[in-house]
Amino acid sequence: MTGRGTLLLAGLLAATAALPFGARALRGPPSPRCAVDGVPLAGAPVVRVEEGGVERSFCCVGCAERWLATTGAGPVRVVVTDSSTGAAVDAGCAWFVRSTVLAQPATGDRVHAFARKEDALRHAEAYRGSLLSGKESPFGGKVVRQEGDQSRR
Amino acid sequence: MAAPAILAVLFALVLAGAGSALAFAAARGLRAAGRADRAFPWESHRGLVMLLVVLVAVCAAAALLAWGVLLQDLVPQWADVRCLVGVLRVGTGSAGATGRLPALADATDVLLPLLLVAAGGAAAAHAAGRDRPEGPPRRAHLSALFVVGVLAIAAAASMTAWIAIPKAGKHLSSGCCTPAGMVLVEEAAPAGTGAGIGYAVSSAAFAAGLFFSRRGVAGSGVRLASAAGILLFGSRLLSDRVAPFVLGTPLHRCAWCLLGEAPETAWGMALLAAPLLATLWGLAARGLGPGSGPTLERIERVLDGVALLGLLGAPLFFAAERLAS
Repeated sequence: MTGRGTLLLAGLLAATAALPFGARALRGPPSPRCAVDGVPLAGAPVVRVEEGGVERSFCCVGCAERWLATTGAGPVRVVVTDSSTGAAVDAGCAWFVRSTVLAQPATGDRVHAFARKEDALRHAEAYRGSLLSGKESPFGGKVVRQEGDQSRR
Repeated sequence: MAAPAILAVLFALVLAGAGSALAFAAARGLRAAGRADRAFPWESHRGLVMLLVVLVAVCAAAALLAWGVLLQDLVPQWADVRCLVGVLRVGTGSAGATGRLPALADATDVLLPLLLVAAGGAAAAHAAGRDRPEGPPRRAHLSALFVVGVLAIAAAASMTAWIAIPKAGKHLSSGCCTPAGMVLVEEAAPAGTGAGIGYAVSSAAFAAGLFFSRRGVAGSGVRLASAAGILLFGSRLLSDRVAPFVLGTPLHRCAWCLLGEAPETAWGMALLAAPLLATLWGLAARGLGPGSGPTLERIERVLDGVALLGLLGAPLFFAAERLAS
């Protein structure tokens, strides 16, 4: 390779190494995505799982359950999104309904979380759903309730 | 029509026009070569054919990029589509023209890269033809030019048809890597150390072929096999090791999502493909061209440089991408 060719190659390699840093600086931080399947979290019924001081976000209850099943994580703190108000609710206090309505179209998940039992029952009745309890209830046995939470169970 | 779609149609039109002209010129050349009494004035057309084949090669690369941008741009149209792989499945199970969308998308996905390989090789062979300016090119070279022309028309037609067909209605397009009947990408075993070792061995073999065994059947075979290994193992590492890290999605391994989130990854993918493209184009220049000469040597030197850039640049790029995350 000639001297000019070597110089060109070195320049291109330097530009190649610099490109990700430049692109990242121009683009800003990446948009939040589900830790399991990469679905953008904007507008999704976000589920947050906290384990060992690390918080991960998921696009639906199904993905959070899959994460816990895959990683074999121990007791964790799980916060779900109330389908009625959009507020964050501790999973230990939430009511879950599986209905005909898709909670997350990208994954096909149909489990909805509610802060109030009346809202859950209303949704179940309106959309031919069923209240999940016992073994059916998501995160059963893996959820650590926040201090001061009033358990529904 | 959105800007990426307009851009893609524009490239498709150029591809169709240049491809038709190229196929016509090559067909006339082939016919003249078969009938000694009717000489085709090839010498006066050589420059024009070179222009056409380079135009097709450049447009194939640009159309490939525009196709990716177009698919990414369409992702938000469907709530059940996660990334551009989901857009490729739009229309599955639908009746009528909409039902043909997946087949057209698949055809475009195959034809555009194939066209890039073929047009690049034909351009290299045609440029090497400068070493023998007198007389028409070899029949194999003319046939390759004809194939490039036909491929360009086919790629342009499939891409334009996909863009033109309405995509309204319900589709079985859910998921990005999760079509029914296929193994979930997230659930498939991730690339273990095997892919890393495969990539390292392929890179070492390619470097050895590049520096020690200049030409010849054995050297070319080693380079071709190792370049294919670099692309194969590199793509696996990109999906399984780079994408989850950059995207912050430990269980989701999708290079296309990475492309959507970090478009500069397209350069990294091009670097992974560079050794294979340079090897194939070099083989085409030697096999279809006059076989020797200073222009051929110059082309091979440039292609060696492209291969070296890919060999060194790809790991450098992806290491930088991880560091930047």
